[in-house]
Amino acid sequence: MARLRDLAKTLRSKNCDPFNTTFDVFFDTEDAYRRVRDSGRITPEVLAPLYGLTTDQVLGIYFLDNALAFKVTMVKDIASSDPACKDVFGAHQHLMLADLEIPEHWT
Amino acid sequence: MPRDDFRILSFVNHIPVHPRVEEFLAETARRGVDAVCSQGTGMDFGPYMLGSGTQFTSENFRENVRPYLRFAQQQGVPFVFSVGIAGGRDQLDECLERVDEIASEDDLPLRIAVIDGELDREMLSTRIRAGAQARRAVESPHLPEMLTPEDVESAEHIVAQMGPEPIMAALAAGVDGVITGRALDVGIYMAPPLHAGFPRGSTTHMAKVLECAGLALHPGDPSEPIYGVLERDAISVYPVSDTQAATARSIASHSMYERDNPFMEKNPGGYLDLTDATYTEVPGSGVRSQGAIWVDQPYTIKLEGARREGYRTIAVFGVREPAFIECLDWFLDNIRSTIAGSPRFGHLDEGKHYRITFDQYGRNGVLGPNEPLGGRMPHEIGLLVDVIAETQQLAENLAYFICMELWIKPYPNRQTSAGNLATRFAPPTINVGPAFSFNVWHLLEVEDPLELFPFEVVDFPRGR
Repeated sequence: MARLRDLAKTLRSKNCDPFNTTFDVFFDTEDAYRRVRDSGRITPEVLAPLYGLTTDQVLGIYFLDNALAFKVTMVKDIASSDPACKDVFGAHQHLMLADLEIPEHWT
Repeated sequence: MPRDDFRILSFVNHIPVHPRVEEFLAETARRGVDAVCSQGTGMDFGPYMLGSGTQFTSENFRENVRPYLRFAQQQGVPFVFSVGIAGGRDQLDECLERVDEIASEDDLPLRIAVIDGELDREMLSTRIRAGAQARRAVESPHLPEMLTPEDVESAEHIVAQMGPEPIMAALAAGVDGVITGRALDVGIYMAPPLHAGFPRGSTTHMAKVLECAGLALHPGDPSEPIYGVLERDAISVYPVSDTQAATARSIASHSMYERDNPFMEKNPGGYLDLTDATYTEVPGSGVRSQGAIWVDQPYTIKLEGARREGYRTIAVFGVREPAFIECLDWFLDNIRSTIAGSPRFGHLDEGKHYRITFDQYGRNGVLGPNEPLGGRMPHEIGLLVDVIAETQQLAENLAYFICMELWIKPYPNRQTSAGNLATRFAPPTINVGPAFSFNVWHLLEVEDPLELFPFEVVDFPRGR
């Protein structure tokens, strides 16, 4: 097992609007990228509970084979529109994703 | 004779100007430039600045744009800036004051087309009553599906993201440059090349890559400018400093930055399909890209509005005593119920008349209930007390009551009977002013991209 943060080169979160967060994860090697892509861990069922969401609030998961990257877009649990929002930019929402455990390659 | 290429220098005008800016401008002059473009509006900072009509210090704005304005004038090329963060009328006016100071101080006469980004609320509600449709831009339960006149009237300010077309119309008026309030970021960069006859697909893609300046380069730093060369069916982007490089990775990743879908860049009048875009590194630390395709759709204008939710008072404390940390959650819950049962505040409803948030930095202040390590006992907690209430006076009175409870009330196993925690400020309560939410985040259908955004030509320095 390894955490996603140990496999990724860049792992970032940011608002794509005040109500949703988008996460971009980039890899340096084809091997690391495929390990994550094929792990079966980057799914609404795995991600939603980490963010206190329902699976339909994971709005999109996109794998970009050419860029060795994936993008996830989710509803923000406390919108930036909310005066009590703790992370107005959404720049610190990546943490639960970063600590996600990714199993070894299936061989 | 149609042009073969179009060269744009881009910077972000709310980020402090780079100490090496004169070097960057000399390098740009050596390469040649056709327009200097800069975004300075956005809602990343939440609804407060839109609602309150405030912005970051405009003296900062003045010093950030000063060298670039002078440069555009020396090169004899137009500049296009969106200004004022939220980009409402108050913020635009304040930035124009600062531009006026530059024009006087630097003896830099400028003829500028100014385009207001704020909408008159009465005009907008009249349009909606007459049948204009504005659907929410994102499917959020926090937003009404269709904008109503009541939503419009309850917003303090509403701005609209103009597309490139009103800026193109202003450029055609023979001005030195264009300054707008709230505008579509990429529209700032699209307008000059579209005006020069370049096609929308490659123009939009270059605009998207340039909009955050050096953030698209490696290492990402938006205080450095970026330089783009547009051809009819390709774009190339380069750093202007020797500390950054465009890489295939940095440009491809910026193409999907802060967008919900990496293949689709949505804009007024259509979207950019990036599915087949390719990125190739070229000499000069640059990247060349081809393959972005523009797809037409009905023309809509994005509206953004902020409604006042109340007034805020905060207080900040440090908690280090282990016995108090041990029972802090219980203690804070008690404060809520004490307030709810008190003769003074008991007739008010939490959630309706006031709202209290306790953030415990060091425990789960950033991630709240999603914090994976939230069950651990920290050695120290930064406690932020955040009260929002119907009036500033009520918020302050509630915050004062909470501070007193925190200071003096007993808790189990207390040894520290002279005071429960460390106080950062005296008085402990800080009135922050109004608090807002976005209640308008909608797409208004329009017939003509120009119809909401007339321009006015102003000679700077003014009043000569």
